[in-house]
Amino acid sequence: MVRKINDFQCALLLCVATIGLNFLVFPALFAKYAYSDIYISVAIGLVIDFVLCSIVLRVMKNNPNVTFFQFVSRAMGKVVAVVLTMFMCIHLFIKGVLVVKEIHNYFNETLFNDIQWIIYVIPLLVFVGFIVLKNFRAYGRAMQFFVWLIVVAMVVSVVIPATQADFTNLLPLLENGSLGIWKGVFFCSFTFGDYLVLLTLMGRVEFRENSISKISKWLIITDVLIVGFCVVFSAIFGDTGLNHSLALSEVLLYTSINTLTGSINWINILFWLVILFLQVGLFFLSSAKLMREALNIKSKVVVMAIVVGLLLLTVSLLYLNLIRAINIVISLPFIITDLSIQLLLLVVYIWSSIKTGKSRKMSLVSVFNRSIVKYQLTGITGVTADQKYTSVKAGER
Amino acid sequence: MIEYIKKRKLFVMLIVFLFVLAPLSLIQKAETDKVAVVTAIGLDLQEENILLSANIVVPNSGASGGGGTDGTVKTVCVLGEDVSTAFTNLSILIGKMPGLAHCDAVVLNKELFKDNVTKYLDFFVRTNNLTSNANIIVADKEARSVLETSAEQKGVRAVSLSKILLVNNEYTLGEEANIDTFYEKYFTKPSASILPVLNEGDSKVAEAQTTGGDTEQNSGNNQQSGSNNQQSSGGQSTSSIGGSGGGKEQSASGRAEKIIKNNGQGVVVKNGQIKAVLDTNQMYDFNLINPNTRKGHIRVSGVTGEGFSDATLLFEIFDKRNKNTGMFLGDVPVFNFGLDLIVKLEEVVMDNISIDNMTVVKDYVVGNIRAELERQLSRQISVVVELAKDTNTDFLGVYNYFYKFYNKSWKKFLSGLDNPDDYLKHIVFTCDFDIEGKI
Repeated sequence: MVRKINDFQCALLLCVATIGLNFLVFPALFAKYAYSDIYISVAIGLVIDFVLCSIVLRVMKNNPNVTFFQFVSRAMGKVVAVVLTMFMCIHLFIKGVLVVKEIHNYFNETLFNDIQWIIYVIPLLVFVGFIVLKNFRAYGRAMQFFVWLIVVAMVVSVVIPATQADFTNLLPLLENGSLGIWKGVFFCSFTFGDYLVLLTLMGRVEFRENSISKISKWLIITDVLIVGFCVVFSAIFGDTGLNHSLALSEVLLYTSINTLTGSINWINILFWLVILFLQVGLFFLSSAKLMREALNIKSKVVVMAIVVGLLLLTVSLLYLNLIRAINIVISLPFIITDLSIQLLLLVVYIWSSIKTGKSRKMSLVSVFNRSIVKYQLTGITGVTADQKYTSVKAGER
Repeated sequence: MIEYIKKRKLFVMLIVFLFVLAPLSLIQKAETDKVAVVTAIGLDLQEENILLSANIVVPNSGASGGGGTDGTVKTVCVLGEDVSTAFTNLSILIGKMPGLAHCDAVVLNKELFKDNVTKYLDFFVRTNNLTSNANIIVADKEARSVLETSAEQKGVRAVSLSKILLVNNEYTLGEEANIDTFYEKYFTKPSASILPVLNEGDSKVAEAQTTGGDTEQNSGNNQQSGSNNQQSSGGQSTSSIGGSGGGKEQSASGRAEKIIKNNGQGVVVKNGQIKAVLDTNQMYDFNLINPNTRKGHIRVSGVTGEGFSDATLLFEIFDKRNKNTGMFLGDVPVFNFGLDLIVKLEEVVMDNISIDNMTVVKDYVVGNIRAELERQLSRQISVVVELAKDTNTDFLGVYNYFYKFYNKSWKKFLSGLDNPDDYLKHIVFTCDFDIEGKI
């Protein structure tokens, strides 16, 4: 029996995944293409993400007891399910690696001149290994503990720098035309795609009547804060935004309030390190769950060993080379591959949902009319119909 | 045993971490052994090389003299072919890596602006070492002497170079002239900014004696704001290491001490080069049209009325709001300096002051304040505008305004000029005022 998370925990997980890299290195990357219009690029990407999340949520609610793997397996076959699940696994793994590289980079290049990297990498690896052994419910509970810390950190990150920002730097709008905005959305598309985390949570969320609206509201709030941050980033740095790669820290440093008080910047960085660690946990936990399902690995420890081993290998190969990692995810071949498979995934998912929906409708109508049903009710939805409906076996007249 | 571990995983993990990480941290060197805390940087040119001066905090273990100290500040000077080499030489000289996390000021010699100062500032933009947003200060003479004087006069707790400029930030510049704001303006088309100037000079109050660890900073010729002049007990720096001798001339005979002088001056920088030096009066004139400042003073001289003559009236600006706007009248850009002022009569200077003519002056001011002030303000603003036109340096923010709010019309206007860089001469400047008085 899968332990489910409630809708609030689902919303938190989705919001933490959405924050992802949007407060770190990607604002500067967006600025490379969109200059001071980065908030428009980010807004477009988040709107697309929101629409996809809404679609996924509806399908999830209609199929509350099947995971993504089971769902696609039933509709399209196991091979397709394995391929798509592994794609999601790799996508989320790479996201986790990027966050780890950010932490690595920040500790090694910004905070400390000379630090043994194993001092923070080993605890990070142990943390990842520990989280991978847990389930989403434990993680969701941990998220609930930190939620207000995260909200305060996000609000402070937006509001305090906003008091010092010169919003006329956002003008003129679309100075370089709209091409830069779409280029930003395209080349930085890896920072989006958070609906994949929702797909990972499929079958693990306890839906109620207003769950979708609750999750959507939290997502909207998060999206608004992210766009607000990008607006402030543009207002402060204007066209020089592409030089400020650690956006969060530099935006806070800019404000004279920090110079006077001396402590807000550090408190905020501390909060953000907590959020980064939570993100790392979420991405690798999701990746591990997907891998376990796709490759049918029974043992959690084996999965943990694989994930931690791969992470250590990746971090070692990319030692102090965040730029190389970033260049990979914004390269044309990577983006085309990633977007193509995401598109395929969505098509398959929606098609599976339609297919499942048709068969369920037929079966319910058949039950009410006591006529033949094509599929066993318990097979698709996991709901036993013995108490409410007369159970009818497949093919029986 | 295994069951015990399974039940207490987190506790066991914590113990393992402690046993693994604790020894690692014990064998590490203290940060202060590896990193020298630099509080200010100075750059001068010496022949073909760069003379780098750095104020370094030297921690003290105990208090000596009055008040107790946290350490002394010493100025270290090294030469290098470029800034990066100079920093390398500095680290070799002092045996530590220079840590710039607490560096709040970069003092630049005027010589560095002859070519393009960004050649020397580039290091500070790229280095991850400088995590704070350091102020850029121009030294009237030598950056090294400013740093040495600053080091001599302060302990760790005393006012820093950047805090000396807080008054400038309120009254004249209206914003911190730091590396980020400098580059933000440098990369715009006008590429113009104003930087503050500091100097060192003699104090005229020679009786000020230093005892033990205390330093008194007098305000004889010093035009710093009183609140910024406060010094808590500070350590005394002695001679600098490896560099030129200190400028301190303290002796029992009471010869003048060296102090940091902030005369409220500024330099106008365009494309990394100094175009003009603004004296105190010109900086106050600039203050009037600077939308970032709220305070200031206005001096109206030669006021004559019934019952008094040739009085000088000094007004304090209680509150100032700038509404600098522009528009196009046909094809001609018009830039308007709009000022909403609330002023208060602060001082009246005239001969033969009596209770009668004090009342007369007051009545005169109430009835005629607007006209007098408007005349004075127009004169002051025109001085600033003429300076901008003469030096062809748009520190008024005109280009940025039209570029942001009238982008197409502005581009069309520029394309119609023989020399697009000479746009200031083709702009019509106007001003309007809304003045309220408090007597």
